[in-house]
Amino acid sequence: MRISTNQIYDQNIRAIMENQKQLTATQESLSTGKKLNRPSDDPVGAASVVRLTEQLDKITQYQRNNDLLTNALEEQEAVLNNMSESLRRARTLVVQAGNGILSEEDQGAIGKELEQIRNEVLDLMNTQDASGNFIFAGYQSQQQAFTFNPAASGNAITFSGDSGTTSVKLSDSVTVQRSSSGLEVFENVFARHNFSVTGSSAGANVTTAKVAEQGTFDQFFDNNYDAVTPANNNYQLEVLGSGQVQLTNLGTSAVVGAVDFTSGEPFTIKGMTFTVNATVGETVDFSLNTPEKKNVAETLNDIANQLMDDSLNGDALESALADALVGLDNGMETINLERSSLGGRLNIAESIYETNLDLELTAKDAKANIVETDYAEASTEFAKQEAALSAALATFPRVSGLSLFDYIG
Amino acid sequence: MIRADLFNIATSGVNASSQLLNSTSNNIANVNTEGYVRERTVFESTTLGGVGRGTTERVISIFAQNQLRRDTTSVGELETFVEKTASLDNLLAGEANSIANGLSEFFAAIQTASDDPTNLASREAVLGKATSMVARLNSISDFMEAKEEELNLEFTSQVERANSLITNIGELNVAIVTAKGGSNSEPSALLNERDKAINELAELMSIEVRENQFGASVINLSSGESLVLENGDFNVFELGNDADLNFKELQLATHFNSQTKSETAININEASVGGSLGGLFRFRDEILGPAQRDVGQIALAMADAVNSQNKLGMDLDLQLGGDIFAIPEFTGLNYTGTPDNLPVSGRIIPGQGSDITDADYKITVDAVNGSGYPTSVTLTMINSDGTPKKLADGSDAIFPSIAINAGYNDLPGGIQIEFQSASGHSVGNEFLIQPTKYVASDIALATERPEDLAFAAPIRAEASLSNLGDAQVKQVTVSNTVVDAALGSEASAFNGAGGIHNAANAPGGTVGAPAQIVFTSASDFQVLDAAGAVITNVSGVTDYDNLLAQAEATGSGPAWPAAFSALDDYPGYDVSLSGVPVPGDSFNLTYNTDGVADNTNAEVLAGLQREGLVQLSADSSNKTRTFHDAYSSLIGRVGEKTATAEISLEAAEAMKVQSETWFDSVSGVSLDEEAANLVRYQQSYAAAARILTTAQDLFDTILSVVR
Repeated sequence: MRISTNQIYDQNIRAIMENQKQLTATQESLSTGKKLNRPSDDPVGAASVVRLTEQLDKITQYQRNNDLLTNALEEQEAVLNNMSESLRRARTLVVQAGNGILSEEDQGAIGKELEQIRNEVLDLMNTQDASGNFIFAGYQSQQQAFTFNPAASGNAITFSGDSGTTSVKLSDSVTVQRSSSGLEVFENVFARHNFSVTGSSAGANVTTAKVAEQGTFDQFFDNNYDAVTPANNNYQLEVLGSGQVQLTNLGTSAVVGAVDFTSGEPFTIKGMTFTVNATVGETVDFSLNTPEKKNVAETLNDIANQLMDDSLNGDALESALADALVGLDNGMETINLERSSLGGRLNIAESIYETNLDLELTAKDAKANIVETDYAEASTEFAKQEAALSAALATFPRVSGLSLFDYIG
Repeated sequence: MIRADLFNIATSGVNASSQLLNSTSNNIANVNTEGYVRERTVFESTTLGGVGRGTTERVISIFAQNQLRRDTTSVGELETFVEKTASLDNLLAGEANSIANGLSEFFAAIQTASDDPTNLASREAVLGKATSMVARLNSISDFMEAKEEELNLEFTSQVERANSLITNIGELNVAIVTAKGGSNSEPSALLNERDKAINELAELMSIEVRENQFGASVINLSSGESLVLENGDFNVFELGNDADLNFKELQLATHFNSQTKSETAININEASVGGSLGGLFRFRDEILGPAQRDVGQIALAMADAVNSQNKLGMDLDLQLGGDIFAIPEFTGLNYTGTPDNLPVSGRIIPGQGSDITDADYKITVDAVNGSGYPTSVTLTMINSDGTPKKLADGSDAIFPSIAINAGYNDLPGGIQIEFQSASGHSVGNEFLIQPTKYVASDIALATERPEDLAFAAPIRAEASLSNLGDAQVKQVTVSNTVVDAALGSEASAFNGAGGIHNAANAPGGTVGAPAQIVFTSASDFQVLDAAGAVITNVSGVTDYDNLLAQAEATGSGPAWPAAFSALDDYPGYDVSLSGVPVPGDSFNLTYNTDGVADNTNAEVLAGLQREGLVQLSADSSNKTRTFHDAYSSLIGRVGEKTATAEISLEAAEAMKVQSETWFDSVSGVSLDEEAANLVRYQQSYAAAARILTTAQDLFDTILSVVR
C-alpha cells in the first residue's frame, strides 16, 4: 500500500500520544493508590462503593452509639451496686433492731443510722450524668427525679418524672434500652401485703390480728385480691358450732377454708393469726388492704422515724419492722432485677461491638478490592508502557529522517 | 514538413514536461496543506504526433472519501459525548461533593444527638450537617445547570458554524460549476476547498453527499432533509424551544430571501442528527436531563421525609415539630399556543415525597366550566426529552380525566397544582411542570434553631403505678399531628397548645381524644378520655399491639365514635404493650410535657436512612429505594454510559485511522515519490529541449546546403 509523507508522521505521533495517555493513566492509579478514580473506571464497582461506604459509615456510628451506651449502662450499674450495698446494710440494721433486748436509746441510734442510709439512697436516686440530666427521671430529665419533703402528710418522697425509657440502635436490627425510669426501678416496689379488721359482731373480741406467715398470706393475697370489684376483698370469719371457724368471702359468698377454733386461743388461717374471744355464731370482718407500692427510700424513712419514736413498741413495732423488712427485700429484688438486666445489656453491647468489627473488616476488604490499586500489577503495567513509549520516541527520528531529497542533487 | 513537425513536437514535449514539473512542484509545495489532494497531469496522444492535450486531475477515490467522512461523523459524535459526560463523571467522583457522604453524615449526626436529646451542641451538629448536605445538593445541581447553559451556547455556536459552512459550500458549488464550464481542467483548488468544508460539516452532523452531472455537490442530512441544493440554494439550521426555554430543539429553515414568500421551518429529529451536534443532543437527553432530575428527586424525597417525620415529634420548646427543610414551590411553563397570562403553580404534597418520580408533568386541559376555569385535565408524565414515560405494562404514563377544583389539586406522583387565573382557560391549553429539574439548587434549611429538631414523641404512655400486672408500654407510634381547630379531614387529636382534645374540641363533641386504657380482664379493655368518659369497650383481645386501632375496629357498647372514624387519621397516635395486664391495670396517654429526654422520634428520623423513600418508576405499584441506593444507581448509570462511550470512541477512532490511511494512500503526497518525479520530468524536459536543438541543427544543415 502506498504510504504518503503525512501518514508517516501521523502514525508516529499517534503512537506516541497513545502511549503517553496510557502511561499517565497508570501513573495516576499508582500515585493516588486508587484504581477507581471516577465512576467510568468501573461503573458497577462505583455503585457498590457507594453502598459499601454507607455501610462503613453506619457501622462507625453504631460503634460510637455502643460506646455511649456502655458508658451510660456502666454508670447506672455503679449507682445500683452502691445502692444494693447500702440497702443490705440497712436490712442488717433492721433485723438487729428487732432484737428484743435493745433499749430505746439503741433503737434510736439504729434509727439515726438508717436516716443516713436513706439520705445516701435518695442521693443515688437523683444521680445526674455528665450533661446534667437526671438519669432516673424518665423523659423529664431536666428536673430532679425524687424530692424529699419530711413534713408532707402522705409520702415524704415523691417522684416527679415519668416512666419513659430511651433506647439506642447498635446495629440495623438491634435496639438496646439505654435508660430506665426511677418509676420502674424504685417506685414500682410492693409494700407488705396486709389486712385490716373492719368490724366484728357484738360478742366477739379480737385481741390479735396479724400476718404470721408472710409467704402463705402473700400467696392467698395474690390469688384472691380483686382489683376490679372491691367488694370481693371483704372476708368474714364465722365461729361454727363444730369447733371450727369458717372463712368466707363476703363478696362472692364462697367458703375459703376452715380451721379448728378455741376461743381465746390464737389460730392461723391462710397465714393470718387471730386471737379472738367469741362464741358460736360470732363473726369477725376483715378486708384485704389495697396493695401499695412504696419507694425503698420511703421505707427507710418510715422505719427510721418509727425507730426514733420512743412511743412505738410491742406489736406495732413488730409490724413496722415487718413492713420495713418486706419493703427492703422487695426493693432489693427489683434493684437486682435491674442490675441483671443491665448486665445482660452490657453483654449484648459487647457482643454486637465484636460483630460490627467483623462486619466492618469485611466491608473494608470488599471496598479495598474494588477501589485500591494492586501495586504489583500496576508497576508491571507501568514498566511495560514506559518501554513502549521509549521505543516510539526512539524510532521516530530514525523513520522520519529518511528522505529522498537528502540523496539527490 | 518534418521541421515544422519537429518544432511542434518539441514544443509540445517541452510544454508537457513543463506542466508535469508544475503539478509535481505543486504537490511538493502543498504537502502540508490541509485537505490537499495530490494532482496528476495526464496527456492524450495525438494522431499528428507530439503530446496531446493534458488535463490535471486530482487523484482521489470517492469511496475512500465517503468512508472517511462517515467515520469522521462517528468520531465527532462520540468525542463530544465523551467529553461532556466525562465532566459529569468527574464531578460525581469527587468525595467533597458526594451526596452519599452528606446523607451519611447527616444521619450519623442524628444518631449521636439521639443519645442525648437535650444536648444543644449535638443538635447544632445536626443542623450543621444538614447545611452541608444541602450545600452539596446545591453545588451538584448548580453545576449541572451551568452545564445546561454551556450546552445551549454550544448548540448556538455549532449551528452557526454549520450554517456558515452550508453557505460556503453553496457558493463554492456555483463557482465550481462556472469554472468547469470554462476550461477542461478541474478547478482543483476549489474542489479541495469544497471537500474541506464538507468534511468539517460531516464532523458536525451526519450527511449524505452526491455530485450531479455538472459537478455541484448536493448535500442531505442522513435522515433525508436537504441542506445544500443543486443550484446554489441551501437551507439553514435554527434553534427553537417550546415550553422550557432551556430545552432547545433543532429546526431546518428555508433561506429564499424572497420578498413575496416568507420562510418556513421544519422540525429535525435530534436523535438522528449524528456528529458533534448529535452528540450534544444525546448528552442532554440521555445523561444531563435524567441526572438533573434524579438529583432533584433525591433532594425532594429526603427533604419531605425529614420534614414529615419532624412534624410527628415534639421539639425542645415542647411544641409539635415543624419543617426542617424549606422546599420551594414551582411555576408551570406554558407551551406555545397557550397564552402566557395563565399561570399554574405547583408544589409537592406534604408527606408524599416517596411518590415523587423523576418525570416532568405535561398538563392538558380537557374541559373548562362556564367561567373559563378548568374542570378536568389529562396528565402525561414525560421524560427529559419529551417522550412519555412508560408504565410497567409498557403503556404510556397518561392519566386522563383528573378532576380539578379551586385551590390545590392532587395529581398522581406526589404533586399538587393550582390554576392561578380564575378565567381565560380553554380546552387544549398545555402546561409543563418540572418539579425535579432545578429544585436541588433551591432547597435550603427552614430553621437555624437547634431547638426546632423534634426528637421526642409528642405523646407519652405510662403504666399507672397501682398496676398489679407486669404489662409494660412497648411502643408509642405517632402517625398524625396536624392541628386543625376546624376538624377538617386531616385533623389529629393534638390541640397545638401542648395537649390533646378534650370533649369540647374533639370531633363529635361528646367525648375527648383517647387518654386512658383500662383493662377489665386480660382480654378486655376500655378506652376513656381525659375526663374519664368511656369512649368504647373492646373484648376478645389476643395481642396488645396498636390498642387504639383495635378499639376502632372492634369496639362496641358504645362503638368507636363515628366522628373519629370519619377523619383520615384520628387521633393520630397508638400504643402497644408487652407483657400481660391483669384486671384493673390502666395506662395513661398524655401530651409529653417536659419529656425532652425522649429520643423516640430521633430514632425514627435516623431510621429514615434505611427506608425506601425514593420512587423507582412512574408506576404506582412500584418499589421504592433508599437514598443511598438511588444515588448509587445514578453514579452507576453515568459511569457506565461514560465507560461505554469511551470504548465506542476508541473503536470509532480506530476505524477513522483506517479510513484516513486508505484515503492518504490514494490522495496523500509522498515526498519521495515527488522527488523521483522531479528528476524524471527534469530529464524529459531536457530531452524535449534537446529535440528543439536537433531541429534547429537540421534546419541550419539544410540552410548551409542551399547557400
